[in-house]
Amino acid sequence: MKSQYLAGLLLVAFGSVFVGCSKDPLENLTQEESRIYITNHDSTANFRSYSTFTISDSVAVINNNNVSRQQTDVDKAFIEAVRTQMVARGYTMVSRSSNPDVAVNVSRIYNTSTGLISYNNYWDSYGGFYDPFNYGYGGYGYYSPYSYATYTIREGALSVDVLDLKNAATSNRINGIWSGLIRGSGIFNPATAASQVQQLFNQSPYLKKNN
Amino acid sequence: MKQRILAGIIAFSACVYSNASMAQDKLRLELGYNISMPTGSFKTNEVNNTSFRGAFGEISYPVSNKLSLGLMAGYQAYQQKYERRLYTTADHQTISAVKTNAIDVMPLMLRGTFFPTGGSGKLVQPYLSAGAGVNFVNYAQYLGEFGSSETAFPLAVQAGAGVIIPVGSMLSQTGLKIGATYNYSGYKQDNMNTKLGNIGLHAGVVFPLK
Repeated sequence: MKSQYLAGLLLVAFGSVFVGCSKDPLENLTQEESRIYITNHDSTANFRSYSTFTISDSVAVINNNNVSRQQTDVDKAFIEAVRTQMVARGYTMVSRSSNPDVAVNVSRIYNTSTGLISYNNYWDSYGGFYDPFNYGYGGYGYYSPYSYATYTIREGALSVDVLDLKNAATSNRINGIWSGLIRGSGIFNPATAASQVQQLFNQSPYLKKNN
Repeated sequence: MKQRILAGIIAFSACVYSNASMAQDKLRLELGYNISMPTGSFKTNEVNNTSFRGAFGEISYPVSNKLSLGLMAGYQAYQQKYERRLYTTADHQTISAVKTNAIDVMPLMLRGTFFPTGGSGKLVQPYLSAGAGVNFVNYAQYLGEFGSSETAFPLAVQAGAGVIIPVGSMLSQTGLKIGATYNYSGYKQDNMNTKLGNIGLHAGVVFPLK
């Protein structure tokens, strides 16, 4: 009978050794590989119908629903990268007072809470940090017809939102028509801001003024 | 890693060799190292890398000179990292990510082994085996560093062939085992719907228990 116990013990020990040797899937992941780039858009939007855009010179920093505006080197790098991509797609940058067709907002989002959150939650308080009055539509609310899936939050994310100002008066709200979200390690790096933003635009070929 | 596995098997073999005695018709224990090559949809859709992280063990009882029945347990870890690609969802969402699939399979099977030439006293004992049981499958998928995992317990079957090479003339039930198996199992959960077909190549030791 002892031999059966011994055999069982040996099997368990042998198995444990191998199970314990299981390789960590993320062990060799570089910072670049750790990142995911998510884009979404309003499928009814005609991106060729817009010509001009405006972009703020600072970003909204959303930290556990507390909002502030900042303009760090990282923020400047991302704003410039977005501006470059929009111009490359055929849109003309104008001042906020020149009735732009779309507004482009860049936000840094941090959430240190555990569990699951829905990223579209930040749309609920969008008017709190991007006052519609700034775009000449005081009293209007914001609306997005789409949302991100839910993910477990481990660190900050960067979002870029394109808002439809051209049709705001018709729909009585400012619709989000395109969003890009970057998550992963080492996002907030001025040296890689351009390549990260470029990835968002590369995977959104419909986002352009001209053919 | 491979050196550690090999060293472990050799050390265990030496221990067995020194302690085992002639023990016909006694309970036998097998321990071995296994590599596995995914086939079919498993290879096409999930992992096309050969897994070098595997092991198995079996306790068997010879019901006749030509047939033994045993309980086999094992472990095999598969992993595949894909280059950055675009993935689209039904709601127009586009995700650019490096995808990593990590699949651990732990079979628990009843296995019969048939020795056409008899179970002992030969220089080399060829065998055929067939088994059925259940796989404990842990499937994890990562997009970048963000992942989710799920588990399932699909039924599994196995067919195999190989040889047992006796070690020492006085230890007719102690030997080195070399062989191959074909393993098949369905898997259908939220994130993966595929067949876990694979070909395994293994080497190990067989010895009687006192």
